[in-house]
Amino acid sequence: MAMTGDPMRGVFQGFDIAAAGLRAEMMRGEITAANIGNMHRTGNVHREPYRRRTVEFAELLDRVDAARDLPGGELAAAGVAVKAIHEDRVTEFPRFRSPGHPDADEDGWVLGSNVDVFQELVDLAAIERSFEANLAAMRTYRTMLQSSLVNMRG
Amino acid sequence: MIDFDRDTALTTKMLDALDMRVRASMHNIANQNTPGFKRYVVRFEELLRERLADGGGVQDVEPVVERDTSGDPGQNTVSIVDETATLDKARLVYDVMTRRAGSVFKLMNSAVFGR
Repeated sequence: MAMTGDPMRGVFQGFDIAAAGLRAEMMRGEITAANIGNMHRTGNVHREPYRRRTVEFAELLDRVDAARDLPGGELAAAGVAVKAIHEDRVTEFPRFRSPGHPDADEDGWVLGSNVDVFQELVDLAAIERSFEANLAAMRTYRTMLQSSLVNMRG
Repeated sequence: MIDFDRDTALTTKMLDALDMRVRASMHNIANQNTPGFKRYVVRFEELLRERLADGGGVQDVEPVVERDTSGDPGQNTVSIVDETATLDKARLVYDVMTRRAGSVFKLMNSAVFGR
């Protein structure tokens, strides 16, 4: 192993990778929760209703030259990060007639948010699974290091 | 003179390779939802086998990090089941290798101190 600089860096890097995964999934969960929380925020042609948001992930590498994918060499893996939060501009706002509604226009039409609650709930279940996978990986890594301390005591 | 390195050379290399593989697996798991991500693979055992068959030693083998290239450019190639299996396999072998190193240390201890 290339022991340059901080000798413990290699050991704790594993935890940082899993932590980055947990942080990213947590962010995705927060955005999904925000979508569900704002799904009833209505609007009209003048004032936009709540627009559904999505999170985009990007791979994180701890060295620039790692992007060129040279065979061999030290692993440059550093986990994942949230690259961007997008607004859904593809799905159209549903329109329903509700005269007397505070957001209703002259003809009584109201625009609803383009959040699909069932899609969000499915996403939330998937996020939970991803989160647990990262957590399990972190736990496995810890067990490995712990057992090596016990086994190599001599 | 006891050649201490000879007994621990394989263990050291193997532990390095396993640590790298586990970190690669954790990276793959962290990127299971990254669009277009191609998973990392760490190869070592088969390289070691080839090297030993050629009459070489453990010292000449290094773990190789490779990037999976299968699938379309935008396709994520992480399989969470495979990564979990890789992690657990690595954990078991890691345990075996550390025990192996520990037994060498125990042997040295009893040789030097008689206990």
